[in-house]
Amino acid sequence: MSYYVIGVGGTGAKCIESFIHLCAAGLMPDSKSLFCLFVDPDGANGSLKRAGELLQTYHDCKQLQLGATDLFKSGVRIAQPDIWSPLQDKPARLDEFFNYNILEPAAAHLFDVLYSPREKQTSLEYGFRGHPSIGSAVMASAVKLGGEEPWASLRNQISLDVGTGEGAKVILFGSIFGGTGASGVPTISRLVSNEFKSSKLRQDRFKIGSVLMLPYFSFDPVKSERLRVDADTFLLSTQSALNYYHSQHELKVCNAVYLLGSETLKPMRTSSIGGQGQENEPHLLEMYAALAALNFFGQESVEGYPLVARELQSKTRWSDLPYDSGFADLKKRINQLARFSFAYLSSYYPMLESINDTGRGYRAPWYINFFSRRGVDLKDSITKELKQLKSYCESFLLWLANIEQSQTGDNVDEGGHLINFNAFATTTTDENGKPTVVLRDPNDFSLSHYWNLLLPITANYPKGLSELWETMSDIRIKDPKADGVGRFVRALYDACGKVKAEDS
Amino acid sequence: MDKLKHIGLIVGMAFVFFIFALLIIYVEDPFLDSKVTTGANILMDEWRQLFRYWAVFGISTAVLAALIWYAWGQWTVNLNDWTKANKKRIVWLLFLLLPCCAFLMGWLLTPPIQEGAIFVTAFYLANNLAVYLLATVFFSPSSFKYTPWGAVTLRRGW
Amino acid sequence: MEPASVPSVMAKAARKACSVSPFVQSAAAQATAPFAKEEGGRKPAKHDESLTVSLQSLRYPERFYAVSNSYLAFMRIITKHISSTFRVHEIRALTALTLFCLLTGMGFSSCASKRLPPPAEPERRFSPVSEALKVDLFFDATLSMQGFVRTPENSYYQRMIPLLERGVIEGWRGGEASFYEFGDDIAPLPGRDYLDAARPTFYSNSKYNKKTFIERVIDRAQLDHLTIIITDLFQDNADVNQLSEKLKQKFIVNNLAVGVMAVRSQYLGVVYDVGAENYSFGYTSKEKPETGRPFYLLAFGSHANIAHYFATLGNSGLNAFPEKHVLILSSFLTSEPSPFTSTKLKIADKLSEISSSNVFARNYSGEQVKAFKITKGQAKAKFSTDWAYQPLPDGLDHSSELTPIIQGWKGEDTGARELFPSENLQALKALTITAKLLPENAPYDRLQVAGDINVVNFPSAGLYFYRILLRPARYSLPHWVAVWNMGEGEIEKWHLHPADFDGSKTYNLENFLGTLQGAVLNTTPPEVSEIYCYIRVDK
Repeated sequence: MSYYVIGVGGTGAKCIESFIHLCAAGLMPDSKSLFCLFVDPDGANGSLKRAGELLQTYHDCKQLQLGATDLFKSGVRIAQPDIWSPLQDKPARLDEFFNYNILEPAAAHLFDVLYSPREKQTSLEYGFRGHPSIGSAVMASAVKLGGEEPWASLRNQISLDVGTGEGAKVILFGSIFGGTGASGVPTISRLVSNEFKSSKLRQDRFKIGSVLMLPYFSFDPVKSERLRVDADTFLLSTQSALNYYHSQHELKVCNAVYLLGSETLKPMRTSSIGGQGQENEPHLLEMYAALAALNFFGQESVEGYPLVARELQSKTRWSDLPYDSGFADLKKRINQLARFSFAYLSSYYPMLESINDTGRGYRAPWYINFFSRRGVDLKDSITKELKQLKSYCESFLLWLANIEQSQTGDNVDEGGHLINFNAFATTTTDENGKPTVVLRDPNDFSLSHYWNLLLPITANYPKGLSELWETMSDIRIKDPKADGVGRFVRALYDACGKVKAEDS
Repeated sequence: MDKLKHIGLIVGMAFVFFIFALLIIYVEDPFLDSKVTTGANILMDEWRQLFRYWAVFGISTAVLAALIWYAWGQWTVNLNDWTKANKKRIVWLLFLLLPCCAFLMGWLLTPPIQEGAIFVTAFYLANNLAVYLLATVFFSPSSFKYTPWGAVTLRRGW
Repeated sequence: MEPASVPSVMAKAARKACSVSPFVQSAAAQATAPFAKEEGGRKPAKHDESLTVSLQSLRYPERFYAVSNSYLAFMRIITKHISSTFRVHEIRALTALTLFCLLTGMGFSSCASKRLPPPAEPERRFSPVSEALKVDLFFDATLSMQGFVRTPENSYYQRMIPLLERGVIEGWRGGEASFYEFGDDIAPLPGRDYLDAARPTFYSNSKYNKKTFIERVIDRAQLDHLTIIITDLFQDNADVNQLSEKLKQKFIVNNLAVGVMAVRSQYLGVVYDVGAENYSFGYTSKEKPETGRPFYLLAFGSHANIAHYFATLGNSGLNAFPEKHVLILSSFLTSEPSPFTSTKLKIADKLSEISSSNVFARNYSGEQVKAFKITKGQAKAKFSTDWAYQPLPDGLDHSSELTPIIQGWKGEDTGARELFPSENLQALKALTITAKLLPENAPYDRLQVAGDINVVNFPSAGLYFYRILLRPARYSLPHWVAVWNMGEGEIEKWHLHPADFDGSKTYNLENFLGTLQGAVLNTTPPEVSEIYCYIRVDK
């Protein structure tokens, strides 16, 4: 089975970001490769850029020869180009896009009826400004599965998978309260589904799903812009969209539709119409979206209308997170990756840097075992694989911190939900005075909390990192496919996965 | 399993001690019997007994130093902070002072002899250093297994 | 690997053994049945009763295979567990080190040297004072002796007579004294008749008062008794030689001693048989004790008994006699063997002293041995030591210089368990001993011995041993002997001038004692010390 993930708009990109992190934790049902594509007219979108960089980092880390492990289990194929814009090489104004000037009068009048002059003339380079009507038209016109890349490759690959019996599952992420997602998800779903509507094999070998994000965040309006996304209209837009989808059976092409939302809208840090300024921090609901995708990929078929909710209104717990093999497994894998990232950033990477600068590799027996004796060139790998891994670990920990902060704020001692993020991150205020989560300097990590990165704290092992160091000094990897830097990474990951009896 | 590992490593140190004790009694002592001239005031047998005593005292001190190094490295040093792994070779060298002091004690308190003193000195020194070195090279705590000199070369197995 | 209990390990080993031979299947099952319960609480698997064979019922070959295969399987499991803790290279290194040490140690251990038998016990041992003793006392009843009892006052001689028996009774708990008179013949003196010796009439019996036949007393004397002769000891040259010869043949050759207690006593009488012409002189002693006439207690027996009797007599009253001397002629100069073993070397150059147990094939409890070891490459070695020396009192006067008499042997390996001591003249050249007593003049209290070893002269490496007898270089009689001696030359003068006769001397005393001393020195020459040196030489 091949997996295809399409993130539409900024929210779709953030969902893919969460999904990538869950893939890194080995939560995918198997190790088959993943095809990722971002769809957004606003290529400079901050969230999109972050997700794109994460995807590239994941791809780079995947090159490590880790052997048979859950870490970076899934292969990833990044679409070329990875970000597709419907406005690529096309005029950025709606009227110019549809060649309004040369339209036939009837068509032009219809155009006038459907779109206000402002809508026709506003630049779409930052997206569809929360106007799905604009987006739908542009999307429907631009997406050509048989034509340009990456759609052609997408179509060909899906055809191959379906034709060989491998099967293909496609899931789309997007919000229905914005512009790009609301317009793109149903449109692209329909186009992709229609491509394979005639195939007899479609029924059991091709499945398509969508994850639709209802409003879960808000931001201050950008007063300088007249045509803009207004958070105040999110609910209204959502209501309209849902009604529309239901009445028009827009989503009937999907084998599964996941609708996710939150009653409280988390205020985002930045307010922007788009571009780099529109970089919204990760949210727990995106993790739910990623879990929904995992559910879609893992299940043979999704039956009925299951509901998922938190048990307590005031608190989110791990048991509130749906995962096919149980929340305990989910928590265990997240925990392992969190510990891995924590340990790597706080201890192992700095030690490798120190060895690279000053030598004396004997200080770290694992360095001797995995690098020196195996002929792995530290000077080379410190600037490549190890640095890429560092980058991934930083983004994972920051994502975790933001996930928690989206629920909590600062205080995690008693009121914390899922992540004890104060061990590795802290909240600060940005230049606009808005609270923001930043990763601590690794020297400032709370090292005694290594064992308790996830909440609730069940047992206290303040020397957890020290024990990890000892384990790493002795650990042996028997997997012959683990080699080079990957062998070290594999060892560290496996060591971080060792649990004590009291750990749950 | 951890307990078994500690026991195994400590038994290993004891094994090194045992081997060198055998070496002292069955190799060095008979060797010195043919090389040493004690002179007046002491019987050769008494001198040999004293040699064996100080030699075993020396290797006992060396093993004790290795055991303290093990206990300190295993249960005292907290490697939560990676920088704590620094300068541990200096500590290992400081523990080496114990067998060196034992060597000095043995060297000074063994009655002077007319012939063969260089062998006695060499045995005292070599025994103490070798026991400490071997015990720490092969049986150091995992986190410091390569800290002793020569451990990286000698521990080729892993 | 989880910690394995010994029983479960053995159970696994037994199962492995089963796979080797069908003959041992059941035996192994029976052996491991108790342990099988411990593994996970599972019940032991039932085995085919038809195959049930107890270990005892197996024939020896199968039983051997059963045991050895189980053992091998057990060792494989242990090795596997060890190898999971220690890595292959570490195991190899430690195994190599262990084997090297064991083999080298075995090599060294197997080079244990053969040894020599310990030295023989000394031929002569100084006998201690007897527990009980019979003492035979013989009074010289000749006329010359009458003058001792005719003095106006109670002479020393008369005072001594009752002390004689008292000395025996006080000296030995079971002491018995028997008294006799002798002269021409010997007659017992029963009861307390001996006290008559203090009266002049005792010496008037013509049966006994003419000739002093001491040799008859000697013939009668018993070796296990202490024989005492009270006489004035006037002997002519022939008598001296005869007497000396008899004493030598009877007592000296049997390591018995001759003791002389010389006492000057008051005298009023005639001294007969003076000189070769047997002159007679009247003599009256004066007040000065040195003018008294000597009488002698000649004692024959063990040195210890003689010395004890003389000491007891002295304590009883003879010590108060102003002119008294004691001389004991025997082969013993000291009563205790030299504590050579326990002495500390003062000088030990290029050699090491080793415990004698390193050179003896058997236990040895003596104190006369020192053992040395000379390592390879030495040309010369030397040692020196001294220790306390307690000479017997009243013994022979001798020089402080000592003459060492050395015998040397080399231990030859004849294939027996011990080395065979073979006399080796070349080895004698290797050892030179110098010894002397300290201080320069008597009384001596320390014995000093020094040895110089010329290693080159040893014919080969091996174990050598030496017997070293230390004897005085020169002897002399005590000075009082010469003073109390009456020379031949003086007698003729006195014959011409009888009034000048000096009765305080004894005719032929020096000759007699000198001959006696000669007999002792020639027959059983005394030793200051007898020591042994064992030297293990490495060349």
